[in-house]
Amino acid sequence: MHLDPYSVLVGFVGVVEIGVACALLAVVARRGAAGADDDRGPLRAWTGFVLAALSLVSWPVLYLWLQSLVPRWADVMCIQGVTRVGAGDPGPARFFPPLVAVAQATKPVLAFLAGTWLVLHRTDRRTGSAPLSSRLRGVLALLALVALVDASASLGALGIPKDDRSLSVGCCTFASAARDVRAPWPFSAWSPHAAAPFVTAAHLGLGAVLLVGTSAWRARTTTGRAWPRGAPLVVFAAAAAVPVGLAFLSTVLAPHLLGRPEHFCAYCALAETPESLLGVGLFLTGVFATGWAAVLATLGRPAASEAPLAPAVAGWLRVAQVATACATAFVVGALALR
Amino acid sequence: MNRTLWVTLVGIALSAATPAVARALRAGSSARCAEDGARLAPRRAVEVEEADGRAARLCGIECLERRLHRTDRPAPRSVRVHDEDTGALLDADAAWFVRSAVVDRATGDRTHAFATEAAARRHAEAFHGRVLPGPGLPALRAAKEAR
Repeated sequence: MHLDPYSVLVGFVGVVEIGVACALLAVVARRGAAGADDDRGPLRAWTGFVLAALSLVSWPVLYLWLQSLVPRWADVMCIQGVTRVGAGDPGPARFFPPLVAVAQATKPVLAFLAGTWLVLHRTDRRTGSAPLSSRLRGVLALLALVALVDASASLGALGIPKDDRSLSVGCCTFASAARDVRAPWPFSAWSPHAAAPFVTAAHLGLGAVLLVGTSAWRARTTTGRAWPRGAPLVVFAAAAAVPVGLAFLSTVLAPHLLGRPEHFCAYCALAETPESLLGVGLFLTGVFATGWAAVLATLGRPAASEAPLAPAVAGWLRVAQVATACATAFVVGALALR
Repeated sequence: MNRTLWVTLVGIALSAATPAVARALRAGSSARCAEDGARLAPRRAVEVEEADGRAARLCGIECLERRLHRTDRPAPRSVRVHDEDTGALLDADAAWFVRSAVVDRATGDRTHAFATEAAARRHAEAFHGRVLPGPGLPALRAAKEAR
């Protein structure tokens, strides 16, 4: 295994993540078996905070590590190439791409679960009888399990011998093939150029739906209803915005920001145009805040009699509105560039 | 207007301006190929004017060949390549192309452009090359299809 600062950092964060996740599972199981109602003991709360912080920290660390691997292979130009090193190899290196894919997929899930726990924990703290205790235990257990999967995948990818492996086909150049197989259906059936207008329309359309939906939902919270009738549609739009947003990033935004019309690589855009991180961050904040509002409005119901949910839900919806509006403004500003 | 609305409007304005400001700050940094993202070498870069008037730069002639074979995009309006001998930009429709044993270190390109047929033949003789039949882009297209 090649040791460089980022490899050591990924290894350290992964080992600590596994340790904290195991400790948290043990604490959750012990409290659950003892039938304790109060979730607000300092041990569980602090362990939860540490795991939530580790979950967030491990996200950029993974990409810094993958970026640091790029110069190791002659035919790799960016993280897109690194994620495919070892594909088709008969040895253990063939597990590298799926392990990296798992680590990449679990990072946003971890960030969302960490936020979910913090949102519910904050509401529970405002009550006298800790009515969300069992739900908080469930969220913490889920966070710990996903953290275990995430850390195992990261450590597995780190430990696999891959230095003498190479790509079977080129790097992100091949993202501009006739069909963009990484895009979600139905965009995957077209070439990136053909799909671009539809992906743009879908992305901006979902952004508009989110803005209008969160505004309407927030307006209903003034009547004391945290989960009005149309709220599931807003949550569905937020969930649909994630795959469409990913397709938009690689198919439309990356070529625009990079100034390379044929280069459909989200990794290159994030590495070479750091301002794209702002756009991605705002977009994810909008989607996640909508999700946290929904979680609070549904899972937080037992606390409603002691801590009114509607104002807290309205607060998260405001965050979602502002972030979605700023993300949309970023996209419009980027698309206006020639 | 209340404070939240002001903060939101300022946030929207800053977000919209960020891509343009970032691009302006990066203006002096090294450019990349529109086809494969490789860094551009000044004497190998190919300048393309797309059908919609947009300008694009490619890292070498083999990237130009790939661009010309795209079926999902209209043919470029004009292409300019660098003369191998002088480094001067010349219209690709008037250039003579040679595939030879000389490999460009930066791009791996084995195809070279020359302003005159005589210069192209001199390079071909010196470096075990083959002058592509006729000047201009049709010769490049035909050579790519033959490969």
